Amino acid sequence: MTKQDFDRRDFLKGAVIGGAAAAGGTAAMAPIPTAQAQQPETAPTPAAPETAGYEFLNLDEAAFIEALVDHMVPADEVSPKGTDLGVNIYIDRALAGAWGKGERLYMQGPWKQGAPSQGYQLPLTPAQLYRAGIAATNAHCRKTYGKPFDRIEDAQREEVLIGLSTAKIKFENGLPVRVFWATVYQTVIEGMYSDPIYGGNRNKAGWAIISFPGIIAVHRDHVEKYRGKPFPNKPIGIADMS
Amino acid sequence: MTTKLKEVDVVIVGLGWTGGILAKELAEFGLKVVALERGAPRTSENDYSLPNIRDELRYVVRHDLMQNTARDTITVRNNPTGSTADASPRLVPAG
Repeated sequence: MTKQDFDRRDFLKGAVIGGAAAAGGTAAMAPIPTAQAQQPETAPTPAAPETAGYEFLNLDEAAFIEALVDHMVPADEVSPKGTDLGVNIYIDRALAGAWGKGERLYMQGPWKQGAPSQGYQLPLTPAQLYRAGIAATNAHCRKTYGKPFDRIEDAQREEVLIGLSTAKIKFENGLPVRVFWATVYQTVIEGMYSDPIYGGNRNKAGWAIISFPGIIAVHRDHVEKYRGKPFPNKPIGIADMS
Repeated sequence: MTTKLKEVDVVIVGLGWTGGILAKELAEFGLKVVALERGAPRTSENDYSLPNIRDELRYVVRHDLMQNTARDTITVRNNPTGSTADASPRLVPAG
């Protein structure tokens, strides 16, 4: 997205029509210049899947997540890139849904900092954790590179992610970096390999990476049929059997 | 208000794996058995059938069949003697 001349995010923030989406209120937006107004028609837009659009992530967060998943899952001979796999959509739906709200998470306290073996101990729901973590990471990026995560170069993004994964980066708002990174990493993996009904693993391209056959429970009939032959890579998902 | 039930031979608290086997064996032996289960009523046909039961995210990662710890958490004694700086996968809020 950073390679495009047209920045969708800036357009949405500046547009009069999109003002409510950006500000969530009745803030008056300056009308956009004519030249910029004509760009949406010529901007290259790949065919958007039916699940496009965000329920939870705001514009800055969406830009961050898209850059994150495209960097962690680049397009190569192994897989399509993260946004083509729908990992960003998976993360958005997960944060908007019950897991993001912490509906099955014990949140009564008391709150103490635990040892890593004692699991998650923060008084934040996953959605709150993500919001705080994205903001803190972008603050670090602005301080270090002068721009938020989605606008820095690939090599700089690599530095940031390595810094998060080793906890060499410390968040200024005090959020534990390891907890944020572990959660991000876990949700990216979920976005690649969970059933496509959750928004990720689009067209089962994630399962194709590891030749996972999907939700078939029993391979009893396959033993004779495919003896000595490669097992066909045609994964079956929940939607296929519904 | 307490509800007083008719007296029976055996009361089993929890009709899970262990309670279910106990209830069956004792009832077949001829005893009057009542089992108390706080979880939702589930059947093989409805709740454990394809395709949804093979949803790894829902059941293995999110533990959807297990006790909802938001309502009533599990309490264990856990006093680690040493701490490690290494990140643990269990740092993730599993929900």
